[in-house]
This record gives sequence, structure tokens and C-alpha cells, in this order.
Amino acid sequence: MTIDFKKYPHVREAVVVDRYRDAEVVLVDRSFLSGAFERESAPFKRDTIFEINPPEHVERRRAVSPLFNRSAATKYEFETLVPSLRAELEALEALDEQGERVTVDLVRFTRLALVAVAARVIGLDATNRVDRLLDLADPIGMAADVKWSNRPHSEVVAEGQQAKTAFEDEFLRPAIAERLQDPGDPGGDIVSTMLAVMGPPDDPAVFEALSREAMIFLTAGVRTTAHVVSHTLHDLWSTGTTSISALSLGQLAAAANESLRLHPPAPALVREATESITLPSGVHISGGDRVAIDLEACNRDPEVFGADASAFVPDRPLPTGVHAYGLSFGAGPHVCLGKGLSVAVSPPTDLHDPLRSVVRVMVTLAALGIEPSKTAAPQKMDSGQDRWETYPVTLRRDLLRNALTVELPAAAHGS
Amino acid sequence: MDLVPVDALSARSLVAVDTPYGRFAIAKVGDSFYAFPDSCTHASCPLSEGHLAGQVLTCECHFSDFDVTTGRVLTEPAESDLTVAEIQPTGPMLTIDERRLAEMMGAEASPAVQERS
Repeated sequence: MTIDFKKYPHVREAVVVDRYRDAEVVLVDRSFLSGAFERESAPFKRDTIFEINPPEHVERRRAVSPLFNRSAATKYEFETLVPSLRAELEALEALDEQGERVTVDLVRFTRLALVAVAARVIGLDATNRVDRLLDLADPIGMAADVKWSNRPHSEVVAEGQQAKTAFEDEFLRPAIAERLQDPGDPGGDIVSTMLAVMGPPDDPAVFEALSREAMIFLTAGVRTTAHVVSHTLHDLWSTGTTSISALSLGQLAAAANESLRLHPPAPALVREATESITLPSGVHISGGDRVAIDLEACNRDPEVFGADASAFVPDRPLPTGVHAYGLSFGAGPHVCLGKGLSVAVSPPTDLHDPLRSVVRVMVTLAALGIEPSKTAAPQKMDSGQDRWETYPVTLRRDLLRNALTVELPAAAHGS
Repeated sequence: MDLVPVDALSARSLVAVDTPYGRFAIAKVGDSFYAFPDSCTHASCPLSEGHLAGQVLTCECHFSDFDVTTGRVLTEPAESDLTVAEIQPTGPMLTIDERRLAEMMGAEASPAVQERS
């Protein structure tokens, strides 16, 4: 999905970088700074770890990075994601419906499973309230990314503000109160980590900062996996794969990486140059220039990914040092913190191993005979972001019953 | 192929050098020298800007630790090892076989080098 950057004010005047090797330099070189470059999303993400720069960024990243290491990712997968998927399947099984197949919105199904993980990472109690948390996460996420929205921005921000207030009252304040009463593991989640970094939120500004940090982890964690799962299954179905369950774990992982390359979650990563630099292709950037990295174009650069760079070819050869998912997780200091939760570095081979969230969700649905709905069409989000708003799929009801009786893998945690 | 004067690693134990195959970092550990692509396997940050203590190199971006003598990841978030080559001084210069250098970057050596082999 190619977008017209001129439609979006924060990148209208930017130098657009559309070559992979140029983008690598911009993302890695410390003379390029991160930031919001617009004010509308400030209540939702200003001065969060996504936007700040060194030295503050280094310290905050150091504080939260233990929450995203391999050991933590494995715990989240087996202790939270798998039970959350199981709970969703149980709810489907309990539906009083007839027919051989049950219809599900793939996007919401995936987001629901992941919102439980996000709640755990942040330190929120979402027991029996994941639906409510997701209903708040969605408008907050839309408002945080309002710069890419094609809807009236004031409307998107107002919906986000309303959801933010409810999120703070229903989830965040109780979590903070609990930590202040019993600190527990001081680095065990985002809330306790940020309380340790920022101090008690007596000052409204401190509370606001903590809230924004919590919201950014809530929305990022939920939306990326749903984005990748829906695009991957769509790409597989569109290129002739009819039976997802016939694919190996390695093939599913390769397909997910390839879809992620073709459909990056954000249209562009934006940076501001603090000094002049000439990029490898010869493009000159002057100090003070705003730079928009066109992720889709960079991820389809034929010089890096070959003449068929725009095609879905999960087993394509890659140059040394180039990830199969391209620059979709970014690179350099602001590389996506949660990428290790979403995808595995090595192709998984055993269901009992940590598969990470994208493959875990897909393999769970593959075992249930997932197919695209024959009666309802998927809908894209009204945004510059290449996202599915809804993606109706069907699952076999008889397999659903079986899936609930089969012991899901629980080995390998706590590594 | 000449990479860098040995002297360049007398005051510092970590330098970057540009080659036709990309940028490499060279680390000095004791009297030995090791070359590897100047890009962290986690998020591509330049390893030559990292901190070398003994044989442990820490990436300044996200604090992954690597053993520069073997390339092994010692501390996450990096999960993939570095490709490392021990290099030798030839007179005043540190040198490396050009084919090895190209191989480390997944490239082919230049036609002139291929012809000589």
C-alpha cells in the first residue's frame, strides 16, 4: 500500500528516504533524533521511550529492557498468551451457535490474546476484563497514531482522551496504588519500573508521564501482532496456500517475516537531522532536515531483496546482516523493544519451544482449520497505516472442541 | 588487503575501518586483533562505538555483550553471534584475506581477487 506523504502534515516537507541502505544509516546514526514532530498525539505518547533521545533514552531503555528479554518473552508466551488463547477458544466453544464452522474476527481475536500479555508487561490486573481493556486500547492506539489517520483528527483525539481517562481510572490507578502499598519485584513490570525511575506520582506531571508510558506499551504490544498475523494469513491465502495447517512452524515463521517486510506496521519512521550527511545513495541531508523513512519502499528495495522484492516469497535469499522482516522493527537505538516477543530469531521447529506471539497465534488457529470467511469481507483501517480493521475467518467447530482437550505445550519456560 | 595501521590500535582498542565490502570494526585484545562487521546483530548499531573490556564488547545501543574472540553473544538482547576473523599484522599494517573479508559480509570478492585465486 503506497501512501502519499504529502497528505500527512508531519512529513509533508520531509526528505523521503526510500532506499534500504540509506534508511539503515538514518536509523543507526546518532546525529538523527527521534521525536513526535506533531502535537496532536502529545497526551498519549509525548516524552515516552519511543520519542526521547540519548542520554535519557539509554537510561529508560536500560530500565525496561529486562521486561523484554528471552526469558521474559518465554514466560509471557507460556504463562499468559497460551492461557489467553485457550480462554478465547473456550468462549467460542460456549457460543450457542449452529453450523460446522464458527466465524471469528481474526484481528480482534489476536488483539484480545495479546492485550492479556500487554497487561502483564505493564502490570495491570485485567482478570476477566481483557475485553474492556482492549476496548480502551484501540481508541488510545488510534489517537497515539492520529498523524496517520484519515478520519477527522479532533474526533480521533477526543475518543482517545475519553478512553485514556477510563484506562487510568479502571486499570492504571489501581495498579499504582497496589505497587505503592506493596512494591513487590521493583523491575517486574512497566508500572513498578517507572515508579522506581520517576518516583511516586504525587505530582500530576509524573502521573501523566507514567500513564503515557503505560499506554504506549499497551497499544504497541496489542496492535503489532494482530497486524502481522492478519497480513500473513492474507498473503498466504492470496498466493495459493489453502491449508495453513499443512505449513511447518518454520514455514509459518518465514511467511510472517515476509509479510512483515511487505507490510510494515508504520508507514514511515521520522527523524530530524542535527548535522549534514550524505547517505550511501548520494542523497544529501542538511542539518535541521526532517527525514521520513518510507518503510514499505525500503523493505521492497530491489538492490537488497532482489528483482521480485515486492512479491511474497517467504524463502527468499537475504544479504548478510539483513533481517527477513526488513526494517519493520526499525534499527538502531529506537529498534522496537518488543520485537523479541513477536518473532523468533531462529525458525522454530517444536510446538513445545517458545514460538513467540505471531507464530503461536497462527499455529493455534491453523490447528482449528482456519479459513477466510466466505460471506464477510475483510476491511482495511481508514489510515495511512496498512492495517486490517477486521478480518473475518472461520474455524472448524469440531476441532475447536478437540483443541480444548489437547494439552497445550507448557515446556521450556523460565529459561 | 590492508585494513588499518597497527598503530591505530595503540591508543584505542576498538576502531572502525571502511572497506569495499562495508564497514568493519577491529578490536585489540592483548596482542591479538579481531575483525567483524561494524553492526550489532540486534539492531545494527555500530559496535565500534561500543565499550571493550578485555574480550567483552558491549554495544552502546542496547547493551548486548559479545566475546570478540569468538563472536559469541554473552548477553541479550542480541541473539545472533558475530562473524569474527582473527587478523595479523603484516609489517606496520593489519591485513586480512580479501576473500575472507567478502565472505564475512556475504559478498563475493572482487573479480581481480577471484582471478588471482
